[in-house]
Formats: sequence, structure tokens, C-alpha cells
Amino acid sequence: MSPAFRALMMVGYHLRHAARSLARNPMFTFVMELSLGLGVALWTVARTAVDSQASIAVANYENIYLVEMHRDVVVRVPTEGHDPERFWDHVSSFLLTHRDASAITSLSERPHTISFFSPMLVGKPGASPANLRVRFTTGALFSMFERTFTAGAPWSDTEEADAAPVCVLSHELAEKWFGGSAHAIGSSVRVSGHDFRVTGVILDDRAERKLYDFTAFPETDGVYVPLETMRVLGARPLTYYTWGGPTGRFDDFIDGETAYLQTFVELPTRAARAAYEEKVAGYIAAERETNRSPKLAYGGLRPLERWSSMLTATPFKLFQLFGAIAFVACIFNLVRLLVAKFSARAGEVAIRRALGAPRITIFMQHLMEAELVSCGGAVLGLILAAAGIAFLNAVIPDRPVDFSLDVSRALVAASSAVVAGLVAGVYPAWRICNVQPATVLRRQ
Amino acid sequence: MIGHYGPMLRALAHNRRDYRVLVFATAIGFTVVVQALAFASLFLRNLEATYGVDEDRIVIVGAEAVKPEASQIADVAGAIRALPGVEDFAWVARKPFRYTEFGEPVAPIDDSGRVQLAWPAVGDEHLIGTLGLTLLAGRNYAPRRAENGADVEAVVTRSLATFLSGKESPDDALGLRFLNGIDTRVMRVVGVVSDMSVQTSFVPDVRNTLFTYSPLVESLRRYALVRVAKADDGIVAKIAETTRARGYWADVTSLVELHKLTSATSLGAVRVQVVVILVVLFVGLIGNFGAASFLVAERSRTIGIRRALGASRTQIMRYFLEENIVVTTGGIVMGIPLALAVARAAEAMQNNFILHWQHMGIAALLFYCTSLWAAHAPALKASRIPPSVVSQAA
Repeated sequence: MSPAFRALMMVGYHLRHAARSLARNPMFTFVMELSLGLGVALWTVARTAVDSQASIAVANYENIYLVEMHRDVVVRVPTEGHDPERFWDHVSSFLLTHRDASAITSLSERPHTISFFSPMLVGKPGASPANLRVRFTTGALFSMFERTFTAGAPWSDTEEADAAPVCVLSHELAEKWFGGSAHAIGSSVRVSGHDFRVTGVILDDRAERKLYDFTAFPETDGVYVPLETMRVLGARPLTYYTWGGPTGRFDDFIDGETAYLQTFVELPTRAARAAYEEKVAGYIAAERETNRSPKLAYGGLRPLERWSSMLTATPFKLFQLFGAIAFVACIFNLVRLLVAKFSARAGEVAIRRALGAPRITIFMQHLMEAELVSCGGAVLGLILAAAGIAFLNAVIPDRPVDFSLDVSRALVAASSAVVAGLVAGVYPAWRICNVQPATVLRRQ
Repeated sequence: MIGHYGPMLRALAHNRRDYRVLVFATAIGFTVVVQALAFASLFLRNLEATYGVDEDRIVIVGAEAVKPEASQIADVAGAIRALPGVEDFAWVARKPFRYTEFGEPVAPIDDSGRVQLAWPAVGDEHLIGTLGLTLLAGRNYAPRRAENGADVEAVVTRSLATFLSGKESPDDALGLRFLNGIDTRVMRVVGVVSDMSVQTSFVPDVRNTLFTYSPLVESLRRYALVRVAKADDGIVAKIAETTRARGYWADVTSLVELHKLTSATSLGAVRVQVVVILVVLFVGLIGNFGAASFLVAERSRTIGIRRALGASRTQIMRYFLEENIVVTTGGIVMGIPLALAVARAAEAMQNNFILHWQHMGIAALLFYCTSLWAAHAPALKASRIPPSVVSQAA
């Protein structure tokens, strides 16, 4: 018999022994599995809440960067309670003015996308309009963020340059208004009183975070229109920061010192990135020579991965931290339950040891028992996690994506349960394999 | 007292290996419950927070970002004002109340270096009256733009007035100059009103609000606030109909509805934390039960001896319950520094996460109750062990 086959046989023997032991007290076994399963579920739900928001559904994400600029603000002092410096950096850096966004786009041949969103009343002509989010964007957004078209295509470069009244609809709206993607193509949609022709329909997966959307609201963009149509529609961004004195004129607001545009650039190599940064720095240096006030400062290129992490709301990150600690508590709890269960069998183990059973055999048998418990815990944990995620989706309406337990998250959860069982089983198994037969038998 | 617990503590020290895991598990569980309580109370504060205005009397018009024509504005405003039940009407340039807008830094002009966030409510002269805020001192801002170089007139809430003047009396803030916003405009307090609360993206409850007049409202206005006798569905529908009939496509909703929307997430977060607490307590309960059952089974002979020596059933039961309390106390004592350390990390991540001693107290109470409940059945079982068990074992 080969050593490998012998080892396999021994594992089978230990497993049978462990299964018999667990079957002797099914209620206690279930309690142990439930204890671990609850910990796994809690941690998995918390992890899923963060991962769903931070995950990037763009294959080319390593080459995409958010361009940031900020201002040399005057008041920068520490405060009690809040940190304005962090606040300002956060707010002002990821939005650019129209002037800056347009300038840096023309600096390089690299693909850029510039966009902002605004809630507007949109509907089929003649029908009652709905308050929807409209994204004013350059067409490169669709390819850069790999949006899937179910019908049609983005608008053409000429249409973009001419600020033509064309739009791309979400699949959901196309279904609702036109009975399908194909029927929507070429149809008209009324955006704030103006007719726009539909050129394409994109898939709108609620489980996927749109990284060009920095808000944490459940409403997603339903309609996409060329950026410059904002002038015809008189559209204003919902989120902006303005440094210029108010003049009351729309064009001054849109073209002046108001930061409201998110600008992403695709830079495939390190050299391309260095060259691009040099050009942007040069542009900013030239701008600082002018009388723009307060002065511009370059905020750098933020990789999509870091941007995605920043978008994840802090309460979810805290929830993940607490979920992880709760999981550890559940592992400790399993340890104490296993200690109790194994110790109750000290007499039996003492007899086996007295009859010559080696420590390693006792240890392995008990470790296998812990592992079997962890397998049950993994199954229970996954069921409870699925229920927990459904609960989270039901009770948190303001969420940027639908939380979902995908295969990779489920696998991580199951393997964590198995590892947790192994970790939790080591100490009780080590304790029981070290019982002194004489001491225990004397007590019997 | 110490004499009473002496033998127990000696026994615990002797069997410390058995209790170590129990204490660790309690400490970690306690840490999670404390954090979950602090986290839940953060959202409860949001939930309890009212806007501080006459919520059930306000309707919001125009959650769209469209530049309306000046003539259209006058037409819409006139039509809404003429509706029965409408008491006041104000334009405001920033979306009120829901946390899509950012607060702005406000700093008094002195060497103190103090800064707080405030929500700038830029609107017309009807804004304060429409919101139903009480003027505590001074007057409303003048409905005109500040001339070049002149201070911008501002009306501030009582909280902001107290921050700026450092004094409780609203009158002390009148005339004070302060810096506002990134472009650091100099403003001057001309009036103080009662507090209102706004939820911003970064700070869920900003009581500092400053009201100013801006010509932005004249051409780029986006929202209108309508004060009505009662903001029910009927008046909301009438206002929506009136605006759309005049070609002003606007979303119309009552402040009560908006509040429900913002509260839903806070309520959800509280529910999630309650589930976390229940899960941890339940896991602790079954762990305690298992451990206590094991200890009783392991000590049946010792219990029999004590019973034979005259210990009553009550004394045996009490012993096990007290032992459980001592172990739980050990876990809680160990959990306190752990909870404080985690809370410090949480505070660094979330501005308004605050751990109070009450959270520790409630968590400790929950753990004592849970552990006593878990130990009750095994302790009862222990008390029923007859003295004859010694002779049987022998």
C-alpha cells in the first residue's frame, strides 16, 4: 500500500469517526454550525456591501485615471469635529471647470471623457414626463467604461461636435417607453421640453457600479446626451463648486469658475502617463500666470481603483470592520463549544490513549470533526448570507448598487468558513489529544 | 465578600485554561456589540433629527436643473401664490434638506483659527418666513446684492451665531463679520433665527445655516419652497399641475415625503445594527450555554460532594450563576480597551461616530443578561445532582 493511499484511507477513517461523533448529538452539532454560519454570514454580508460598491466592472481599469485639480484655498485650519482640509480636497479636486476640462482634453490625443449629471423631466412626447437623471457626456464614456449596447450605437463625433439632439437610453427606459431596445432606436424622447432622437440603448445593470457616477443614490442615469446640449437645455449640474463671483448669467456659470465636470483619461503606459502629466502641469503653470483666482493646483491622476475605493461610503467600511470582528467572535465561540464537546469525551479518549492510540490520530480525528462542523457552517453561512444581503437591499434604499452575492464572494465565504473551522479546531483537538490517561481514568 | 468569592476565584484560576477561551469570546463579542450600539445611535440621531422647520407645511418645487425664463418664473410664482392654502413662497438656489449638497466652511475673522461647516441657503427675502423660522435678533437680509467690496448681509441660525460670537445670546452675534466658503467672501450677521437642521453629504446634521440673498436666484433658480396650511397630496398635486401648465417642468414633493426618503436609509442602518447585535448575543448565548453545560457535566462529582457536605440546591445553583458572572465580567473588562481601540479607529473613519460610556453599559448589561440566561438551565441541572452521585462514581 502506497503512503499516499494509506494517508487517504486514514483521512476517510477519521472522517467516518468524526461524522459518527457529530451524529450522536445532532442538536449540539447544529448549534456549532449555526454559531459559525452566523459569523460567516455577517462577515460576508458586510464584505459584499463594500465589494459591490468598490468592484470595477471595467476590464481596462488599470489604464483609466480621473484627472484632479484643486484650488489654493485661503482658510486651511484644523477644526474641532470636522476636518475642512480633507473636506475641501475631497470636494474640489475631482470636479473641473469647463475651461480646464476642455483645455486638458485638447492637450493630448488620448481618449478622454467629460461628464456631469442633472435631474430633468424626461418622457415620451405627449406622455407625462418623469424626473430622471440625465448624463451630459462625451461619447467616449461608453467605450471607456465598456457599456454594453443592446441596440444601436453611441452618437457620432459630428453629432457630438454639433451638440445634436441625440441620446442614448437605458434598457429599462427603452422597455418601458418603447417596448424594447430595437423599437427605441430612431424614436424621440422629450428632455425638458426638447425632442432628442435615440441612437442607442445600453444595458443598465444595477449590480454594477458606474464609476463615472460619484453619488450614492439608487437613481441611475436613464438618459445620456452630448455634453454641449446642456446649453440648449439650460441644464445645470446638481453638484458643483464655484469660485467666481455670481453674475446671474447662465453662460458665466457654465463657462466660468465653476467646477462640475468629471474628467477621465485613458493612458495605457507609464510613459504615456508621464507625458500627459507633464502637459497638464504645463497647462496649470501657464494658468497660474494669469489672473484666475484662486489659483489652480494640479491634483494628480487618480487610478480608477483608488477612485472606486473612495466612492465606498464610510459607514459600509465600518460595517465591514465590525462584521470581521463579529466573525472572529464567532470563531472563538466555536472554539469554546468544541472544547466543551471534546472535553466531555475525555474519558473515552483516555481509554483509547491507554490502549495505545497515538496522539496524532486523536488530534486528526478531532480536527476532522471541527472541519465537518465548518463545512456545515459554510453551507448555513451561505444561506444566511443570501438572506442577509436580500435584507440589506430591502432596508437600505440609498445605495449606489444592488448588493449581490456572486460566485467569487460565495467561494471566499465558504473557504473562510473552512479555514475558520480548521483554526477553531486546532486548540480543542490539541487539548484533547494531550489528556493524561491516568489522571482522567482516576477521576472516572 | 471577598471571602465568599475566594474559593470560586481560586477555582477559576486553577481552571484558567477552560475559561480563557470563554473570556476572549466574550471580550470580542462585547466589542462588536459596543460598536454596533454606537453605530446604531449615530443613525438614530439622524432619524430623530428634525429639520427644525414647519415640515408638514412646506412643499418643494423644482428638483430639476433647468434655467427657466424670467417671465416664466414670475408667471409660475404668481400662479402658485394665488392657489388657495398657499401662505408664502420663496426661491432658493440650493436644494434644501436632502444631502446632495455640500456644506461650506465658515470662520470668524479673528486669530482663533476656528472653522465649522454651514449650509448656505441662498434665496430671496421670503426664505426665512416660508421656512417658518423665528427671528430671534436683528432683521432679515436686504433683497439686494452687496455692492463691490461691501460685506454680504447674512442671517444665521442660533447655533452658528453661538459659534461665531462664542456667546449664548443671539444679540451678541449681530454685526459680527465672518468668512464663508472657498472664495472666502466676507459676510456680516444682520439677523439670528431659530435653529434648523440640514443633512449634507459629509455631516448628517448641520445646524449651522446661513441665509443670504443672491442674484443667482433671479436667473438660475432651481427650487421653490411653498408654505401651505397643510402639505397634503391635494396641494402637492395642485402645485405640480399649476407649474406644468405654465411650461415649467418641475418635480413637486412635500418636505414630509423628502424626510421619509432620507430617514429610510438611517432606519435601515439601525435595523442592520440591531441584527448584528442580536446575532452576536445569540452566538454568545449558545456558546455560554454549551460551556456551562460542559462545566456542570465535568463537575458532577464535585457537586455531589458539596451536596453531601450540606450545600443546598440554591447554593449550588447560585455558585454556577455567580461563576458565570465572574467570567462574563472578565470578558467585559478585557473587552473595554478593545472596544475603545476599535472605536478610535472608527472615529478616524467616520467624523460623527461617537462612543459613549452608555454604549458600554448597555452592552455589559446585555451580556450579563444573556450569560445568566444561558447559564440558568445548566445551573438548575447542577442543583439537581444528588449527593449519591459521589458513591455511584466511587
